[in-house]
Amino acid sequence: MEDSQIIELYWKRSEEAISETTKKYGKLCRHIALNIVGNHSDAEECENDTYVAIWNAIPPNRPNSLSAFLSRIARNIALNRYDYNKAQKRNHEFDLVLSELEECIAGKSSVEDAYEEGVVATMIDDFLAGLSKEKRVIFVRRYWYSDGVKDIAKRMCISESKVKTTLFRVRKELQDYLGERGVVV
Amino acid sequence: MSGKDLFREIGLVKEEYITEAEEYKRSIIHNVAFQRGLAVAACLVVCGGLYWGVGYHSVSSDSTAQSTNDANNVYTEMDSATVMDNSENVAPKEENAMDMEAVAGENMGNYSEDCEESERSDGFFADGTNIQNSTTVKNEETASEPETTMKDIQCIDTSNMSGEDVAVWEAFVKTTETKTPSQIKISSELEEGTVSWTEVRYDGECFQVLWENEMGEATGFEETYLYLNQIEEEDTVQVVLSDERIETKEQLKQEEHVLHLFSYEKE
Repeated sequence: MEDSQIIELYWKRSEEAISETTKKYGKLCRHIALNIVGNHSDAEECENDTYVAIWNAIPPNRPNSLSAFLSRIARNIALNRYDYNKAQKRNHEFDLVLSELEECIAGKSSVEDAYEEGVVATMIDDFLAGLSKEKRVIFVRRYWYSDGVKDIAKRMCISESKVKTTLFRVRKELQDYLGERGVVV
Repeated sequence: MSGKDLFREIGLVKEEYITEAEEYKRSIIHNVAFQRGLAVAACLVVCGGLYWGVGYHSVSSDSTAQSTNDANNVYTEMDSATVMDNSENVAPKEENAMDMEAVAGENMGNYSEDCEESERSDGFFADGTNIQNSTTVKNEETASEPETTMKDIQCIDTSNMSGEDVAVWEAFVKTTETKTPSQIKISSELEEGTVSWTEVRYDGECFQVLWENEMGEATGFEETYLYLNQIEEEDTVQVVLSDERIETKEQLKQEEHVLHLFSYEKE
């Protein structure tokens, strides 16, 4: 079923919308959540929470891209779950993703570090726009979808070493880019 | 701002980047399918051509058997001559390899095999520039018959060296001073597997190492270069891994080229 048809079902408050979403994007939501929370049961819960959230979000929203909209919700829910779980257990792969990103910020956080939500995201948008498509996809796969290096290499038909190299460089470029714009702590 | 804050901010990037990253795989699959289709079509054309050629040849051989025999004799003689020419061309290269092997010592014991391997594996390098460069180097070697005198032996044991995320490897390198680029052996071990051999070129300033993985596939390493940059004043050797070809020592110092930089005290 086309995304527009699924969105129409949400607008009509038809429960078929959920089943169609599960059929088409269930795997994607689970994959995103699993990359962050690191275990299947939590990932499944995140997936279910995502369906509830999208049910509440459409209407009033009418997303241009259902997959991106769903992915974003799944990612946020999984991130909250990660916070919740953090005290007891850790997902080492995702911790690695976060520690890599910390390289892009040159210091420790403090009280003065209040950035308006979305301001940095806009900078990142501009930064990504300046990258080649391949670099951008690798970056987004790693830091948006939290995919493993191996998975990215397989998906893009390139070597793991190439992926690591690209990520290393893009992180460095991002660090410089953010630093120049005052996102330095 | 913590890494997690940044992760959250990345979560707010434009939808188009998210969908682009999601759909990227599909476009590659399409490309692969297209390439496979092309390959199959090319095979069919070649097979068809061969079939047609054989059919044509058998018909013409029936009618002109004598003339074909004569022609075959001529071809045989020409082939022999060509082989002799080729063997003459190859001979200096073998001598060169023998010289290198004698100079290099135990760490370079299998040099002849490596030379053969290197020639065979030229096609593995995906980058056309690399292929061209490799070929150029070989021609230069053959033409100028470089003197390979051992001036300085460096055994760099990097077994304690651990790349953060790119590679964990060991290298035993013997350097030779040569007038022209030369080949030496280096054995390396990477996270993903053992790198069986490499081609090392010395341009008078630094070593450039082209390597590939144990399966003879160039995946991952075809664009990886290793440079040993000897710094006399500091008595150290920098080992630089880069995925870009670096031409000069000045470039080597530029951070953008450097994946990993290690410094060692010479033994």
